[in-house]
Formats: sequence, structure tokens, C-alpha cells
Amino acid sequence: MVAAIGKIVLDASEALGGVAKMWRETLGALMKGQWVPKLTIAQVMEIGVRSFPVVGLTSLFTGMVLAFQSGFSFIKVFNEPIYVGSVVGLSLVKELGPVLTSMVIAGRVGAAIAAEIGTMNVTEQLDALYTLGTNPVRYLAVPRYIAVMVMVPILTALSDMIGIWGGYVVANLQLKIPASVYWEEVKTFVDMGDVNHGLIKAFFFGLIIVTTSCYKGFKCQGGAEGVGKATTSAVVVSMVLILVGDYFLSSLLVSLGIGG
Amino acid sequence: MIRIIGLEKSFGKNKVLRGVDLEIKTGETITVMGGSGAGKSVLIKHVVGLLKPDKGRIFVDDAEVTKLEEEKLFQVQKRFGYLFQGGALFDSLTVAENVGFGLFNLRPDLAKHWKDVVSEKLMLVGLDPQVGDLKPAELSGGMKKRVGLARAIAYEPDYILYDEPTTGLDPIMSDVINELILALQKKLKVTSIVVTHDLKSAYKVSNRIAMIYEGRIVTVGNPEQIQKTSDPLVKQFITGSSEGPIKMKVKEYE
Repeated sequence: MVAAIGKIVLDASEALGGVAKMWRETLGALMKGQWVPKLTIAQVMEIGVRSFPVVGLTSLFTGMVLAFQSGFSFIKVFNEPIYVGSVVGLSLVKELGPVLTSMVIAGRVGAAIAAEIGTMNVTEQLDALYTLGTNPVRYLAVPRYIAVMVMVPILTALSDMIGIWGGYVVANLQLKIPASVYWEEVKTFVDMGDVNHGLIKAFFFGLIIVTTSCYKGFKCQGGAEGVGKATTSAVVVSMVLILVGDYFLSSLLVSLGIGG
Repeated sequence: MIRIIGLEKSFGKNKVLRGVDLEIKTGETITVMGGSGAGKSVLIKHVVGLLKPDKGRIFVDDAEVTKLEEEKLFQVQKRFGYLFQGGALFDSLTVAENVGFGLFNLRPDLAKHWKDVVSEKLMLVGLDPQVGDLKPAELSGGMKKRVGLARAIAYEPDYILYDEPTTGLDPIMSDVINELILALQKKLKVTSIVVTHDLKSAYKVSNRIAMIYEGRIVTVGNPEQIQKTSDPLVKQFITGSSEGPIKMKVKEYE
């Protein structure tokens, strides 16, 4: 029992130390401007642009189902579908936009980052980078950090807009809510503080995804099996950390008066 | 010159190196042979600073590799070319980009005309420069090793480390690689460490051969001395006998 707890503590300390070292190297490279624009643009395309269709589709239907469920629930209680615009807007902007976008990115991009760096690790390509005068963190992690941390908030903002528009389609066509009423509810209840609240969280969720997946890739050992484990673990750990972190980040932001 | 003094390294409970002492003179090719898992690759990874030892020191000329900070280590690393066991070519880049990769960091003077350097090095390892347009996934095992070698020599290092250069290749391709190593020795006058358990290759390319067993260098000698040795450990290894002081654990079928 004591040994098991000790092992958990040691593993956690090792992981924290590894993450701190990776952050130091990444930040150092960013400060010194040591990042390769070509690789960063490639990552922005891969992480941001190519993730857009799935993020867009997810948020569109999330907005639609939110309008549908809230509309019919309110009809039951109040005999009319009121506040649908505010429910859809607030839920998406503050919670579902950042969380669902991050979940999609964790599954799609986090897995790819861990698998790519992990494969490079087990096939000695990371060692080869060192021997060719290139620090793997600078070459591989820095472009991914920039791409993920910039693109997750941007995708979240797009996801918010698409979701609210999806909610409008259902509200207008199925629930027969006039367009002016729906948009007025959105405008009245969702302010810039709420938008900032969601985008700040998205930025930190991006940090969680890219840190977890790069770290798992760099620490990967044991051939194809190791790459598989690193990939799965990167996705699972990212998702759990996002959901747990969401509560604490939300509390912190509300206490600071951002989106309270 | 490379001097390795009392090198020790463990991975968890597994003590891989238990005090390795070895000296490699400038211009010579030394082969480190030993069974699978004996710590041969771990040893040369320490030489170039890819691994940090638990104990012991390594000097490359006057620089103590084991104590250098990243920036100074980089100055030493750029003097080394490293041929990895599986080639370790970057999948996302073409063959030409792989071969030219080190030039941009290590030899900016050559980087200006990197395409010419790449063609020259590909020809030096017996490959058509047109191979440069292919991706590593399109190459055979032998071609990957040759491209790996072209990448290791592209920036004209003083030292080349070969990790199992002939493993997994057919006998003819193995001999082609051996000839390449010999040609590079003559042409570039480099100091080399070859890690292998391919005895034919070891005899052909080495000035001296060292054998590693249980984490220590147990013998060093020229190829003739090794072939005529009376040391039971070395004798068992070079004759490939399962009987002798080296015990391999094989689980018996019941």
C-alpha cells in the first residue's frame, strides 16, 4: 500500500518535472524567437483549419439540440418556449463551446501529436534530431504549442457562433420563435465577459492538450505498443484534465469577475 | 581522441554499463562487439551526449562531454556523425531533405548549396541523386542505411558512430556497407566507433575490436588477436557457441 502510494507520488513528481522542463525549453525558444515559421504554419493548418469541419458540425448540432431540449422543456413549464436564445447562448459561450471544441481537438489533434512524436521517439528520430544539432522540443513542440494555443480559442469562437446559429434554426423553424426574439435574448444575456470567460478557458484547455500529448510522445517507450499506449493516455488524460480543470478555471474566472 | 573512463549506467534495476573503460585514438576505427542487450548502443549514445551516465567520464579531445551544458555540448555534437540502427530517417521529409538536414545548423557555409552537397553525398554512398526526391517509406532497408550514412557524413564530421550498420541486411548489402565504411575511412580520415555483433563486418572494417560483456570491456585487440584469442568469453562469442561462460537464458518448452 505504502509502496503503491510512493510510486504514484514518484510518477507524478517525475511527470511534473518533465512538464516543467518542457515548458522552460518551449518558453525559452519562444522568447528567443527560435521557432520555425514553415513548421508552425503547417501545424496551424493541420490543427486549426483541418479540425474546423468536425468542430463546426459538433457545435452546430449541439446548438440545435440545446434549443430543441430547452424549448420543449420551457413549453412544458411555461406553456411557451421562452429564454431559448439565452440558454443556447450562455451554455455555448461559457461551457459547451470551449469544452466540446477542446474535446474534439484532444481526440483529433492530441492523439496525432502523441502518436507522431511517440513514433519518432521509438524509431530514434528524436535522437537523430539531437545529433543533427536540433533540439526536439524546439523543432517539434514549439510549433505545436503555438498552433494549439492560438487555434483552440479561435475554433471555440467559431464554434460559439455556429452553435448559436444552429440553435436559431431550430428555435425559428421548429419552435416558431421569431428571429428578433431569439437574437434579442442572446444579446441581452450574453455579454463580452461571458465570451472572454469561454475563450480564456479554451486557451488553457489548449495548453492542457498540447502539454499532455507532447509529454506523452516524448516519454513514449516500447515500440508500437508503447506508441498505442501513449496515444490513448494522451487523449484520456487531456479529457479528464479539461473536465476537472473546467470547474476550477470557471470558479477562478467568476471570482475575478470575468463572466460571473 | 575519445576517452571513456569508468562509465556506469542503469535503467531502473537493470545495470547496463558497470564501469566501461575505453580509448579510441584519432583516425582509428574501433568496433565494440557483444551480445544483444550488452549495452553497445547505450555506450555510443553516451559518447555523443544522448544519454547522461550515472557515473564516469567521457572526453572528446579535451572536452568532457559528460559535464557540458547544452550549448557547449552542441559544439562537440556537431563533430559527430551518427548512423542509427534503423536509419532513423525523418518520415515527413524527402531523402534529400533528410541528408541536408544537419547542414543548416551545423555547416551554414555548406547550406547555401545544400542540394549539391546532398547529391555528392548520395553518390558517395552509391545512390543515384534522383533518390533524393523519394520519401523514406519508399526505400529498402539497405537504401535507408545508405541514406542514413549520407546524412551522417553530409556535414563532414570528425567522428562517425555506427550503430549496427549491417544488421538486418543480406550478406551482399552488408559487404557493400562495409566497403562504404572503409572508403569513408580512407577518404574522410574520420575516427569511428562501430557497434555490431556481425563478426565479418568487425574483422573487415576495424583497426581494433573491443568486446563488451556484463557492462564491462573484457578484451581489446586487433582483428588477428581477436580471432586467435584463447579468452573463453571471446572465443565463445566469435565461434557462436551456446556452450561456455556466456549463459543465455532460454525458457524450455515443457
